[in-house]
Amino acid sequence: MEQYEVAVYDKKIKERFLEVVDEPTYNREVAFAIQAIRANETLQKCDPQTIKNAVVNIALTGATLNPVLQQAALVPRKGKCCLDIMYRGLVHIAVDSDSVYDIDAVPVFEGEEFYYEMGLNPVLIHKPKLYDEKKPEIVAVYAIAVLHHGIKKFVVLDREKIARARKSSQTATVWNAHPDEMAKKTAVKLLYKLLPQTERMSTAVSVLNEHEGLMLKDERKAKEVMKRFAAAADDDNIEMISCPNKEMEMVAKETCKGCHEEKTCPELKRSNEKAA
Amino acid sequence: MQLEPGLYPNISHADYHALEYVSNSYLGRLDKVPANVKVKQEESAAFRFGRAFHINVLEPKLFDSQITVEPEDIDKRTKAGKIEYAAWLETASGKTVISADENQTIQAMTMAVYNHPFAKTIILEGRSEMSVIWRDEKSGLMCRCRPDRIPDGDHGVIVDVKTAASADIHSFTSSCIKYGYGRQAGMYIEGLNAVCNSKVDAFVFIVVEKEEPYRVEVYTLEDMFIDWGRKEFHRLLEIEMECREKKFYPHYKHAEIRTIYLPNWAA
Repeated sequence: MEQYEVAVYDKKIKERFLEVVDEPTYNREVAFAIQAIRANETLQKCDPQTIKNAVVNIALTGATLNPVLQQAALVPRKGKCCLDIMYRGLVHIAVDSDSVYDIDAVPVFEGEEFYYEMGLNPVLIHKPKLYDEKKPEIVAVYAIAVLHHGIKKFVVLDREKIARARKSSQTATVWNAHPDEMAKKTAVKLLYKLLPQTERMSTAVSVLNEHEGLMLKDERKAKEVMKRFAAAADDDNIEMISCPNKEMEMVAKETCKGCHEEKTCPELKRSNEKAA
Repeated sequence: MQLEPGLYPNISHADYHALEYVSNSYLGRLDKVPANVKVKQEESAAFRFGRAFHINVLEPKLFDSQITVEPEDIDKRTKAGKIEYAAWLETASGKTVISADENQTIQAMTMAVYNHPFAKTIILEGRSEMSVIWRDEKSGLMCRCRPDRIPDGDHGVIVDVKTAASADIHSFTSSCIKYGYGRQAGMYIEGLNAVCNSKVDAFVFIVVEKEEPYRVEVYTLEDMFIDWGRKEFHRLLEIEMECREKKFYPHYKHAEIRTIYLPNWAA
């Protein structure tokens, strides 16, 4: 038995699955997972723990790995197996978990008639065109949800917001291959925030954010910079002394160089003697 | 003085400012209105305070040789005191003068920086006062910058220390636009990458409040912000090029008449 098969058929995964779905669904999803991993050598080499997490997330979100339905897929990213929930998956989760009656996202291309107003009486008018050949550039994307009492909610992402989402995403290749679908997915993710929340929807968004990057704002850059200094921070080679001027509060010795009591400070003297 | 593109570790503060190359503060003045760059800059009290604080945080060993603190026992209100103060000022020639109160604030602010868990890590080991001179490829203009700190090692980061009335993230975000800190990041990163082998792609601000309890926050700009800063830098370089070509720095931004509309909040 291959390592990935051991991971997928893990007992705990089965237990987690059966908490939320029935056994035939578990068998079906596990078969789809094995099928997907067998077809992809890079997935086979992924960390088995991440394979387990991805498979459990299928159960938690309620999406299916059935390739025909195109709701979710297992994808390798930097040695990790990730559950990628697609646009159709996000729609399915919101509708199936009874958050909304229907949900849809539509891209707006250059030259199409498009108008919207927000406020107390929101308006959205879009007259799409038909294209024989290559579509023009995408200028906006919007997602509309119809709630159970008939009220509609929508979000509009302009070109700048789409570009921001694209830039902050780790899935550059997918964006390059399917820019329209990815823009639609981003709009639905953003709309999710305005909808009645269900546990499955929250799980889906957090699963996506974990490996795909948050929609429009994240702390990735800050974390990356902190990581670069992690070794220095761990070393913590900064000598601290108790400052008589600060009621013996601990201060970095470096700061004593500008202090007017530098020459007479007993604590500094003691520290220097110790260092010598 | 003319310098070739490169990294210069030992240029004095005065020599650096005497270089007639484009700097971030120059572009900031140009952005207000081009003629602004021809106005002579006076050294304000805030500038002196900022300079003394920067030296104390980044190069404490130079503090005594470059900064001098006013004696507390001279009463500048009396005639004798004024004479005494003038005599003392002569002894302090060439140094930046700060008051005793300012010095106390500076020491407290410095301690606040070094007591921040992350700020101390990034500024303790590194090089300050490195002058970066490069030629912008598109405009051909010579540019200069002097990053506060370039941390040792291959971190790809520039560190800048800022004093602020508020270190809150929202206030500082506005400052990044208002005072051109975003443009500074874009410009400095571009300059350093033009003359260095190592790739720099991050700009970190250590922001310190000037009042007790001297709040310290550390921020880094997101890539889109840096890109925006870079575009702003190039937009202003184009304006500078235009002014140089026409040999004219206008004291207005728009040559045509413009309409003022009644704002919504007043209607």
